[in-house]
Amino acid sequence: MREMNRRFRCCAGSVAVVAALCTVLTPVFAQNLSAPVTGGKISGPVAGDFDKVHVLPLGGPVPRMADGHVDLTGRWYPNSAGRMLQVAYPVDPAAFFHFDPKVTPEPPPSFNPGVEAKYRHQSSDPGECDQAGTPTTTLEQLGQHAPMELIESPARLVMLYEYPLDVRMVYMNRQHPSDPDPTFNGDTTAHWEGDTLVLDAIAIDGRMRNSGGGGVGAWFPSDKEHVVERITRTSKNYLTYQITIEDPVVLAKPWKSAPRRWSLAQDPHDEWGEVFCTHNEEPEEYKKLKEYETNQKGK
Amino acid sequence: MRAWFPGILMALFALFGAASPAFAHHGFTAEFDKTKCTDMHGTLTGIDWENPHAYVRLDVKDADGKVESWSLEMITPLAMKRNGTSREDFLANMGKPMAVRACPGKVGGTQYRGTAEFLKLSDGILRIVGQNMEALPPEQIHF
Repeated sequence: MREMNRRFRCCAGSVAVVAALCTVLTPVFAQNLSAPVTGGKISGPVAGDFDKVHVLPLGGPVPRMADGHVDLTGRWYPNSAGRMLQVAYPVDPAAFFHFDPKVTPEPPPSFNPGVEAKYRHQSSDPGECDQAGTPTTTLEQLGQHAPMELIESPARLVMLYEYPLDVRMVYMNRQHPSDPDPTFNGDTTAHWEGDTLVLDAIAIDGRMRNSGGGGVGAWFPSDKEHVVERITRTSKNYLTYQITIEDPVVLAKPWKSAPRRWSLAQDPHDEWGEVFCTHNEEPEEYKKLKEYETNQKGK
Repeated sequence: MRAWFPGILMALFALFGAASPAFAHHGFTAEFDKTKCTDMHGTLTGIDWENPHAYVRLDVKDADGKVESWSLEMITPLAMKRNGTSREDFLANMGKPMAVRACPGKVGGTQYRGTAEFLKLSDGILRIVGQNMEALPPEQIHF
């Protein structure tokens, strides 16, 4: 028991340190972007049925469309629990699994010589809304713990995200236009390589920040950026989603995400919802705090 | 198990700790003072169920009996709803006693404005409604 307590104290201490660091180092918007708590128990009843959270089983074979292709349709969470999680409640850490950075690390971008100052994104002001677009909206769900909804048809894959609100159309088996207009999601085509859907995106607006969401920093694309995404539904309950960013102007070598695991929403009542960045009380508050800080410095 | 926890912790740090400065819609630490978080007991007087953040309002009596009307920011309504707390829960408990662990705004900000971490309405259920800014371990999350 004493050994157990020692282990628990050690673990709780480490969690506290990690969480404290996260709080300091994480000036981001998220429902719950800090380190998940592990170990311990909240006394009394807690809303949310967190005590029922568990790692989903594989769930059975991969569903298929009438044409035999894998059906990716579903609401997918960036974890292994098939539901939105909350980092403050100590669920099984394995339920949070999206990828293991020790096994499949996501390195920082390797910039071409002399371009980092131009393309590296330095910082954002508090209150600034997150820009939706390719591929960051997908990568950023790591911190939002929010779902990605996929709706597949033979001609299109529709990708929906709640925050930052994003609607992305992926066109199957067609060529990119010869001179596509730049947009935040770019122009995306897709084709099947076996049971993997390969997305190919170009023409991404130069203001769309790339961010891995896992601590690799952010950078802006050139007009030569090319994003390749590979989606593989590995069972009824899981898919993996891997992203490669190529940019011969900005990057010395392609940036590759880990093959991140997503799990299928299990609650039939878990329906689509909206999270608009509408700036209710916050901008005024940030302005007030900034003015106060400026006044204090002037004294 | 023993070897597993440090690995998990390292992984969690890598995922959440060294976070990117790219996204900044909301820096809780920029707006609220996590060193001054406290338990508040008062009466539920209002709920603003709106994006991007919901606000709960409550009246709290100070030591002299003077009523302070607090507005506490919470996470986005959809996330609360998915995690077991709805607008109806607040409406059903309006005008009744409530308790909340909250962190006030930083000096220079609006008085009686803060952020809620956890709260209990009169139904006695603990609800996670905000960031765990203090990184409280689970056994310390109670009222």
